[in-house]
Amino acid sequence: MLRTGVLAGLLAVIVAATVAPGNDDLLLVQVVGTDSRRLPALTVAPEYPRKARRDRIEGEVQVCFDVDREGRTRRIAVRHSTNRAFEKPSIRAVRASRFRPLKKDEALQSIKSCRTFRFSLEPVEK
Amino acid sequence: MRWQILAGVLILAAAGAYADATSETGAKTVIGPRNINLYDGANSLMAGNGEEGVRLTLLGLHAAHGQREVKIAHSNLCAGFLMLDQLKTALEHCNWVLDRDDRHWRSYNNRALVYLRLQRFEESEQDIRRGQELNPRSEKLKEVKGMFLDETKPVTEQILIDERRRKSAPPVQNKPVDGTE
Repeated sequence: MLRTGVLAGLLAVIVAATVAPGNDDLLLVQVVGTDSRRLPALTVAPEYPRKARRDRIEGEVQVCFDVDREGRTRRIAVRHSTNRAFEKPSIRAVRASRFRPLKKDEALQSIKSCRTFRFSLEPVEK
Repeated sequence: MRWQILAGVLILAAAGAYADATSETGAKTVIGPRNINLYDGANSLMAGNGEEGVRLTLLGLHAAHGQREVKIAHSNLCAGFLMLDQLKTALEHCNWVLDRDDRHWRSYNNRALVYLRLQRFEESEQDIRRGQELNPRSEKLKEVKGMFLDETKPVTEQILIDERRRKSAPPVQNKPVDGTE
């Protein structure tokens, strides 16, 4: 029940990264779920790196981070990555993301949150 | 296709029009452009001014010293006429270079773009491949290949965000490789 609520919250606040100028292709962003204890307030999707798209490279990055009382992401670090090209946009997206601030009576938990970004290119029917 | 970025992927050989004095030790002193029209033509083309670029390059071609400058002129004319959307003429200039020098990767790059505009995809792919064999690290050729793929095999970007913790994998049991216990 809680997870459904969290997921709904996530979907409601998802923000797709700005599509590069002149790029009229659609960027699809999908959130598959969260186990985070904190409720997301704003989830920013990374940009697909231009050169990776050009060279038809796909990949995955897992970024772990702390969330402070105000809901800002802190101590962001890449835990796992299949290609360095995807790391910077993933870090940038996590840095720009926000969680709901804690209430005064809520204790800050020191569990790290991790977010995995999967970058893929799907063929388009002409 | 976004052809406004064409000027960015065409390869022009402006530097080749410089005159230089080479000493016995091999040290070079660059004096300045020997063929000023060829040089200015390349700069105009790089600035995206196709008409002026072609005009100056044609003047440069008439005043060319040696085969190297002639080759540069034809290669740049191929790029220039492509910018002017005169594909047949562009192709003739690229072919002129490649008939005489089949290792001129810049002309393969430019001709691949001409073929792409003409929707002659197989020939375009062949030129990209040949160019990359000659210069595998060329960013311009990678750009052209990207344009080729966008035209022939378009894709949509997808980004999946997963915040679930990974289930820990079951412990791996060491088994003998031949299957015996």
